Amino acid sequence: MVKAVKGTLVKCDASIKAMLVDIDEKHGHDFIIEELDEEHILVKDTKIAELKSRLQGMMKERLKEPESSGSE
Amino acid sequence: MSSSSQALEYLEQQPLKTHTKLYEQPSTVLAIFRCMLPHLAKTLVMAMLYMTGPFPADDLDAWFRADGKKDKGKALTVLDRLHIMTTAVAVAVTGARTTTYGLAPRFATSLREALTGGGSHRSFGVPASTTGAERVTVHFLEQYATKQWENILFYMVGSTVGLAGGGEGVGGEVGEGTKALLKMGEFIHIAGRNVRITKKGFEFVLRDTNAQVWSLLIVYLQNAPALGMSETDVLSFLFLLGSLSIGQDYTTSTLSPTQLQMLEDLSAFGIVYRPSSTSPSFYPTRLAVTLTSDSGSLQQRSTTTTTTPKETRGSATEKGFIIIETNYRLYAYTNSLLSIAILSLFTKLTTRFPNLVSGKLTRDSISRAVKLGISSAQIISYLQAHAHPQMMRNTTILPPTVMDQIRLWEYEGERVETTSGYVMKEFESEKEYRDLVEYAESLGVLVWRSDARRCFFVDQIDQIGTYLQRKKK
Amino acid sequence: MNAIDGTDRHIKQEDAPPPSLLSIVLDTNPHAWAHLSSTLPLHACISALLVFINAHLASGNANEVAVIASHTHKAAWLYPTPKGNRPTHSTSNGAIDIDGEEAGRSGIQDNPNKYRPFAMVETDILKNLEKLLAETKETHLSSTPTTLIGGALSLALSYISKSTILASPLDLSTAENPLSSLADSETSHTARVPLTSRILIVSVSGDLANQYIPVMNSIFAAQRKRIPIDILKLAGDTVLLQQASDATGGVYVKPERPEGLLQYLMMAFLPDATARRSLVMPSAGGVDFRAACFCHRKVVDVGYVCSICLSIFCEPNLPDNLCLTCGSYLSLRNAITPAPALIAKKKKKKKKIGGGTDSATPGGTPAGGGTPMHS
Repeated sequence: MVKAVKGTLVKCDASIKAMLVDIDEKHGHDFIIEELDEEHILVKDTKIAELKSRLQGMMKERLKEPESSGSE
Repeated sequence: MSSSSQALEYLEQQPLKTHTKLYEQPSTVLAIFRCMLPHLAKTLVMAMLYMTGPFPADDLDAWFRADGKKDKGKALTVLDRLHIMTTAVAVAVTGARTTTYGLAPRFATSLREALTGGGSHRSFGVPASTTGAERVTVHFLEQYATKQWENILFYMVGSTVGLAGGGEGVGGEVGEGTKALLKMGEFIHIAGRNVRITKKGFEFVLRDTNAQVWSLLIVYLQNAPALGMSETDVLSFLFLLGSLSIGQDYTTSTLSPTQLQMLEDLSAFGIVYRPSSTSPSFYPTRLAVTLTSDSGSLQQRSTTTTTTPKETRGSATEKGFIIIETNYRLYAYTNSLLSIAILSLFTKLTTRFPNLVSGKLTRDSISRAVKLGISSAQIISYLQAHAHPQMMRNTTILPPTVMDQIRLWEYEGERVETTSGYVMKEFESEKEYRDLVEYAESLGVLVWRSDARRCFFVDQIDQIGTYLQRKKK
Repeated sequence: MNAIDGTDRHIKQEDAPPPSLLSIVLDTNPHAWAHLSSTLPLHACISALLVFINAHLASGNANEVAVIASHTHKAAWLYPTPKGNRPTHSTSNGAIDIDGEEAGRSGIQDNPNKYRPFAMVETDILKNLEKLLAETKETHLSSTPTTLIGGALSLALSYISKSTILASPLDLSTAENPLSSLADSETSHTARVPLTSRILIVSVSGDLANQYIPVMNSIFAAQRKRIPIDILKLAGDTVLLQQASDATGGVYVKPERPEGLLQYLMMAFLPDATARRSLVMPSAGGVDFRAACFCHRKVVDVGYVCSICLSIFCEPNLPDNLCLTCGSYLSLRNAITPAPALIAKKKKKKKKIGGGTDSATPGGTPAGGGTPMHS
């Protein structure tokens, strides 16, 4: 029988996906319903906002990009 | 997003009851037909309009080419959601089922009346018989509309970037009703005396005028019931406005109380002009008559800008005033506070001269704008639309490096995309999967699919559900 | 908060179809309409056509229409009314000259049941058609039984060409110097709004072979400009118009029941170039590609062709042996050859072998000298 699962589809590149999976593992698999493929995962509707903010925090921490000099 | 698609989205959410009521007015039906429907849907409606019987689905399929199936699905979906088309399934004695399509009778009648000019609905506006010196000129209407609308924009932008007050022609008073409306639409955030523009507000400001008008009107519509106005009344009046002609005055005597109340609000926006609030007639302005046409007639298209096209062509904002160099420096030959305010949303402005401001596009200024909800495409299209004639001569109007960099700066903060919806999985057979996934694709709701795993993702499930149920029977 | 989410940032742009200009050539040949009066009188056709025009105008906000009557003695504009006849009335939707309104408007204005642009087009068409019919004298009718489709087609083509130039927005630098814009119009890089145009010929007249040359030239011009010519053939049958729709990729419909004209129009002719991409459109099917001769305007199976200008003649007896079109000396009589004689198989074979050995001999003596020696 066909089954429909409600959730939010998150499209991202592989590196971001790895980070999302990492977040999910560290928080007791509370976010991800299913990993669909290399670039898509299904996330619980209620948790998407939290996941985003966690990802943002993680990115800030890990990807320190060199500030482009504002001077001319 | 084009302006009509916003209105279409709003309209699609309305229930059948509202639609049926709306379709009683030929002017409304014509306006919906003209500016809401996708191109193929128009073709379908017209083909069926004078058909004597229902249109068998098989014949419809035969009419479309194989590669047009997807567009057909889309057109049918829109027609279905707007309750313009009805589907009937007839079961023959032999057990063979035939699906037929038909137009909603009310819609068809009204559209025919609109095309032939028959009936006595008087829904295209009754002209008033003002003559002589009392008439106002088109030129005056243009100026009036431009002034009113720029006031609203400046009210939103000016306070945020610290240019409030000190009007040089702009920055005039904005009515309380308009302020309340902007707040309700979450375009601005009012805290005490401070007015701050929101993300939605930025998007609003950078759109073209027509889209701005619609966004504001949709907020107006959504709040109409709270003000004791009937939504259908408001909607049909808006569509009526779109079918009027500029320079002509129309009598208010045929309008309903709701519509009279609307007139006051609309004149505050500059959409209509009334010589006085008790005047028995009103003039639609350019903002009104372009409501139901995306970009107006051909002549106006060449000058799509934030101000009203034509007539005002001579003013500085019309001609294009921005020069960008490959080193991201930006020079804008303008003294319009509104333009400066908009530019400062995504530019680091440094110097201001009597007729010139100069600044630079920086990573910070762009990513600040992006965070506020302005997209790189919006920035680029704004810069292109207002580029100086000198820039217009270049092969690509903006230097390619600058365009790419703006996009890259935006992409830095764009790592995921989310879509809410449903995953369909655990199909029993390949055939069942193929069938459903193709149906979803034809509806235009398919977002992602994986043939290997036999599952797919859709952003809307209602129609798929009914499809499955129908199949089960 | 949504700094990392790009969902809402992509502007979903719907590519609106380009504006479309529909030029209708209406065959108003009184002779032919008189024949049709029992099934489809002219007034019924006009009213169906007006609804169709309104439907076309409603299908796109910037859609335009032009209507030309192809009459017995002249081709006349029905819409837009030529400038000379009406000095103060702009043709575009909505842009009306306020000062010159009094005369033209009063009739249109008072009808609140009708959308203004529709009303304007209708009034103009009816007024001009009435004028045209009133001007038609008996002498015009008796002089020819056919209609000036060639002239009407050329008018339609030139109007389309003009509108296409007007529709493309020129940037300011070129606006100052219109000549330069014309000069580099082919290579111009500015983003232009293309105007897709098509021609619809509502034809009732039969034999049009007498206008073979002008119509054919128009067809080639339309083909070059990628303007489809749609044919609605209400009566009669002409090879020429079939060829026109076939060569330009247009629609060809010959209704079995002309009474249902409106439905034919709405279904087959309303879809514009954008919609046609995903629809199956009716075409002429088997097209007769025969040409008409230039001397007697007869459709010929086999004819004679001028070697200079490619004019076609049905018989070799030209006056003074000069081509009627370009005046070159032609002796077509000499072209009449008896049926080609069959060459005996044996002889042919022998010749072939001889030729074969000649070329195969490396550095051999000249062929001319070689052959006699062998014999």
